[in-house]
Amino acid sequence: MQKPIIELHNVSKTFRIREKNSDSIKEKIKNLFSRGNGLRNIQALKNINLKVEKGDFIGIIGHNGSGKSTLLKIILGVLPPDNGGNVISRGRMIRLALGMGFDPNLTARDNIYVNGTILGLTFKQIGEQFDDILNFAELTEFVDTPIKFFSSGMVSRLAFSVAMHVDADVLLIDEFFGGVGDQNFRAKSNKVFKSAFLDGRTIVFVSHNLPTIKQYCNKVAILKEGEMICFDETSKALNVYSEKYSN
Amino acid sequence: MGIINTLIRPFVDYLPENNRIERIWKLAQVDFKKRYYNDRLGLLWALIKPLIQVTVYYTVFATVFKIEKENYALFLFCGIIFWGIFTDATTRGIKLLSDKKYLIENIQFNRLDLYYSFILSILIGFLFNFGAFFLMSIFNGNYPDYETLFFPVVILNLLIISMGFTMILSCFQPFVKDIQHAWDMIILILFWTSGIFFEAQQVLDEQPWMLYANPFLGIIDTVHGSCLIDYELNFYYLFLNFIQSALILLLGIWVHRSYGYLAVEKL
Repeated sequence: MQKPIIELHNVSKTFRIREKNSDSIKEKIKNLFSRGNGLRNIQALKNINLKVEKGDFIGIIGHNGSGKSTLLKIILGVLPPDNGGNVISRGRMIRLALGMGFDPNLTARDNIYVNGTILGLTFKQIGEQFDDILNFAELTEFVDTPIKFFSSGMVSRLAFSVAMHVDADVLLIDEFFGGVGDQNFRAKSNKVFKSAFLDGRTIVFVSHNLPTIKQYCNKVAILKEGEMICFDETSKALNVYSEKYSN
Repeated sequence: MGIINTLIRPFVDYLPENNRIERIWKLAQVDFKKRYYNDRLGLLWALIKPLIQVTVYYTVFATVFKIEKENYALFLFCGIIFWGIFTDATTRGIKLLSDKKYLIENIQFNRLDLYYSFILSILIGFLFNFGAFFLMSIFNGNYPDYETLFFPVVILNLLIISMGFTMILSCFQPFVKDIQHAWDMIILILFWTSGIFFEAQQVLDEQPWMLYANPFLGIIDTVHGSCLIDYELNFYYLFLNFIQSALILLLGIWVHRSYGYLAVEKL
C-alpha cells in the first residue's frame, strides 16, 4: 500500500510574541537583563494529526485566526512544528497564494524559470512547458515585462498557470482559487483544475468558500482555535461545520 | 546579462542536465541581473565604483601622504576589488532571507541554495572587476607567475568566509533589524585594518596576534601574494585562512540550521 503523501503527527505550533517591539540591538540588550518580560505564547495549532493520501483533495475550513494558513506553512516546511511534532512529506510542493513565489522586479520569463527550477525542473523541461504556461495565462505579449507592472489578475493568472504546468506533486492553495481572472479564464482554469484533480494531483485547499469546497474536496478538516475538531468526508464535515457555526 | 550568458553558455552546455546546478545558476543570474540591469549604466557600475575608489585612495596616499611603493595603484586596486567580495556579500546578503521571502514562503526547497547562488552572483560581479585589474596588471608589467596558480585557493577562502558571515548575519537580521548599521561600522573598521592600504607584514611584525584576530589581514596579504609579482605569497597564511574560513562557514551552517527556521518565522 502506498504511503500517505503528507503525514502530520502531534503537530502543535506556538508563536512567542513580545508585547513591545524588540527588534533592535538596544532592546535585545535590555531584554538580556529582563528575561521573560513581555513575552506571550500564542498557540496557533494544537496537536494536529493528519494523513493526506496521494490524489486527495483536502479542504481546510475554519474562522479567521483558526490556524489554517499556519497549517499550510507547516506542511510546506516554512515553519517548524513545536518539539514532539513530526511532519512527513513525500513530494514537491507549491503554495498558491496571491502574489506567490514571484519577484516583482523580475520579468514573467525569469519568474517562470526561477519557480520551475526550484520545483525541480531542468531548463530543458521548463523550455518545453514555457509556451503553454504563457498561453494559458494569456500573457504571451508580456513575457519580458517585469511582474511589478502586471495587474493583480495577471499575476494570479501566471501563478495559477505555473502551478498547473510545473508538475508539483502537492498544491497547497491558500484562499486563491475561485477569484482568478475574468469569466473566460475562470472557466478555463476550472476545466484544468478538474482534470488535474482527476489526474491524481494532491491538493490541500484552504478557503472560506464552502460551495467550492463542496464541489471539489473529497475530505474536509475543520479548524477551531488551532484544534482540528473534525476530519471527515466532505458532506459529513460540512454538516458538522454548519452545526458548530450556524449560530 | 547577454555578455555573461555568451561567456558562460559553452560551460553550462557541457554540464549534465542537473536541476540543482541549474537552479543555483538561475538564482545567481537573476540576482545579478536585478543588481546591474535596472539602470542605464548597468554593468559599468561594477567597474566604475572600484576605479573611483582606487583613484581617490591613490591620490590621498601617494600624493598627500607620499607613500612610495612600486605599483601602489595596482596594490590598492587588487586589495579593493577582493575586499569588495566580502563587503558586497555581507552588506547585501544581510537581507537575503527577507529578499527571498517570496520564494521561501511558497515553495519547498533547500534554502542553502539561496546562499550558493548569492555567492555565485557576487563572484560573477567580481570577475568583471578582476578583468579590469588583469588588463591593468599586464599594462604595468605585472605578469602572472607560479604563485598565481594559488589564486583559486585565495578566492575560495574569501568566498567561504563571505558565505559564512552572510549566513550568520541573514539569520540574525530578522531578530535585530538595525544589525545593518552595526555591521557597516565593523566593515569600516576591517576595511582600514586589513592591509588594503599597507602591507600586512608591517602590522604583523609588531602585533602577530592580529593574524588570528582579523582573518582579513592574512586574506588580503595572500591576495597580494598571488596577484602581484613583487609580493611573496605566504603559504602559512594561506593555510591558516583556509582553516579560519572553514570555521566561520561551519558556524554559519550551524546558525542557519539552528536559527534559520526561527528567522523565517520572523520575516
